[in-house]
Amino acid sequence: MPMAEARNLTVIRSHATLLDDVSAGVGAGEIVGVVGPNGAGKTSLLRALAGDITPTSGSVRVAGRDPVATPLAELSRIRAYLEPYQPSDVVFTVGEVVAMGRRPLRHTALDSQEHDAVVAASMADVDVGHLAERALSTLSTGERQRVGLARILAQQASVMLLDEPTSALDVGHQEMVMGTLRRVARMGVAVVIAIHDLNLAAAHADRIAVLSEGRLSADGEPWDTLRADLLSEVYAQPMRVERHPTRSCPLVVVVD
Amino acid sequence: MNLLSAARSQARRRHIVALAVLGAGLAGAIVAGLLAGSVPMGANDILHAFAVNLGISDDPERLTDSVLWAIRLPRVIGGAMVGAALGVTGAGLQGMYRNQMADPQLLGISAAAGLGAIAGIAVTPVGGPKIVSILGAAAAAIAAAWLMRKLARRVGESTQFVLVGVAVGLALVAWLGAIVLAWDDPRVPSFTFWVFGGLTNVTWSTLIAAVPLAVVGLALVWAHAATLDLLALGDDQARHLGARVDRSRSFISAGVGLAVGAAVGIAGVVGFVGIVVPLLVRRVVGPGHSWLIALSGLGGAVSVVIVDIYARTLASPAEIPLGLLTAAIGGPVFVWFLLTSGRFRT
Repeated sequence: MPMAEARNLTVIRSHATLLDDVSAGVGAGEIVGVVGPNGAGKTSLLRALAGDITPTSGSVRVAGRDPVATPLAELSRIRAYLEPYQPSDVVFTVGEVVAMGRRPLRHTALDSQEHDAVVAASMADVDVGHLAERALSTLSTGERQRVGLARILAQQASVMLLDEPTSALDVGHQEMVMGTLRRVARMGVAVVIAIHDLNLAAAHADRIAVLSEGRLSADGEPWDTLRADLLSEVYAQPMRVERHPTRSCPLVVVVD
Repeated sequence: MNLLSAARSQARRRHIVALAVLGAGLAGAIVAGLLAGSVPMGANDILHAFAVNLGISDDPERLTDSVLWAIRLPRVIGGAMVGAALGVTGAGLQGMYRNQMADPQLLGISAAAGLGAIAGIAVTPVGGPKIVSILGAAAAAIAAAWLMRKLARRVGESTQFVLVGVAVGLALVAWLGAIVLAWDDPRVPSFTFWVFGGLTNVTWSTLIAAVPLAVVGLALVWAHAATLDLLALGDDQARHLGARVDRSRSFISAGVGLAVGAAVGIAGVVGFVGIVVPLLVRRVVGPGHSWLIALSGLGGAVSVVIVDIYARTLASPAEIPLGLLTAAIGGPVFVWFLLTSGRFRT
C-alpha cells in the first residue's frame, strides 16, 4: 500500500489547471523523483500531498489519511516538506533551526539528550554539523538548503516531500544528500523529490514520474520513463539517453 | 550532541543573567521611582508608608505616606505596566510580521487605542468609571491590530507594510487631534497627553481597570512564543511543522490589542519603547521568542519607570511628557541599532 498517493487528482486555481487527473503514489522505502518542465505541476503535486492545497477533484492520501482534514500537529508527525528556498533573514542558529524539526515530536517520551542526538545526527548527515552555532542568515544559499534538509531529517516523518532539495548544492553535496535520502528510505520512509536534474533523478530514484502541463506523462522505473522521445517532447529540447558509464542507470544528454 | 547541549546551557546562562540584571534593574527602578519627586523621601518613609497603608503599623499618617501611596506607587506600577505592555507587544508584532520595524505605534495600533479611549470618555458620565475609556481603547486597538493583519495579507510583511501602518497611525492621530481640540471638555486629556503620553493621570482606579487587561494580553502574546519561532522560517514551513499560523496570529493580535489598549488608556501614546527594547533584548539573548518576549516585557518596564523619573524631575515642577523623552532617547538608539545591525548577531 502506498504511503502517499494521489488518485485522479485535479487542482484548478483561478481558472488555471495546475494538475489534471494525476494518479501517482510512493511506497514505504521508495524514492520517487518527480520531473518536468517549469510549471508542469511538480510543486502543486507535492503541496497537495502535504495538505497545503485542497484537490478540486480526486483524492489524496498520506499514511491512509486525507491530509487536508488531518490536524496540523498530527500531520507534521506524518509528513515533512522541504521548500526549495530557505529564508536568508533568519537569525536563529543552525542548531536551533534544525531542532525546530523536533517540535512536532515534543510530546514524545524522549528526553532532551535523545532529541539532541537526532538533531546532531541529522546535521551530520548533510554536513552542516560544523555550522551548528552560526546564524542561518550568515550562510550561503546551498548551506541553508542543507540546513533545511537537516531539519526535515530531524522531523523523522514517514513521508518526506522535498521540493528541489539539491537545486543549490554542489555536485559533491548533491550525491551526499541523495545517499542520505537512500539510507532514510531503507528505514522505511517514503521519499518524493521534485527535481530538475534528470541525471540525479536517474541515478538515485527508484521510480520517476514525468509531469507535463499538469498531466502525468510517464511513471515508472528510470529506464522506462527517461526515454529520449518522451523527454525531447516534454522539454521541447532534443535529448539522448545513454547508459551511465559506471552506474547502471540512464544518462540523459542534451543535444542540438 | 555535546555541542548542542553546550550551546543550550550557554544560552541558558545568558538568559538567566539577563533575567537577573533586568529583575534587579526593575526593583531598583521602582525604589528610585518611589524616592524621586518634589516631596523629598527616604527609604524609611517608603517602609512607613507601606506599613501604614497596609495596616501593619498604627503610626499616625505622614504627608509622605499619602504622596507615596496615592501618587508615586500607582504611577510607578503604571509605568512598569505600560513598559511591559509595549515591550512585549513590540516583540510579538516583530515576530508575527517577521519585521523588526513592527511596533504598536508604527502600525497605528496605539493611535487607534487613543481614539477608542476618547470614545470611551465620551460615553462615560462625569465621575463615571475609568474602565469604560480603557475598554474603549482596548476595543479600538484590537480592531486596529485586526485591520493591520488584513492589510499585511495584501501588501506583504515588508517595509511597505510598516509605511502603511505609519500612514494609518498619522491619519488616526490627526483625527484624534481634531477631536480633542474641537471638543473642549475638561474630562478629555490634552492633545499633548495623547500624542506624547504620560503617567500623570494614573491612579489606583485606572490601574485596577488596566492591569488585568494588560496581563491577559501579554499572556496571550507570550503563549504563542513557540509558534513565533517557527514563523521565522515562513508561514508554510511553520505550518508544515504543525503550527496553526492563522490562529496564533489572531490570538497575538488580540493580545496586542488588549495590552496596547490598557497602556494607551492610562498613559496615552508612548513611542519607541515597543520597537527599541525588543531589538536590544534580541541582540543580547537571541531570537528565541519565549525569552525575547519575557525579557522585553521586563526591559520595557525598567525603561519606562526610569524614563518617567526624569520626565517628572528634569524640569520640576513642570513635567516633560513621557513620550517626548522616550522618543528623544529611543530615536537615536534605533538609528544606532540600524547602523550597527549585521555586525552583531541580531
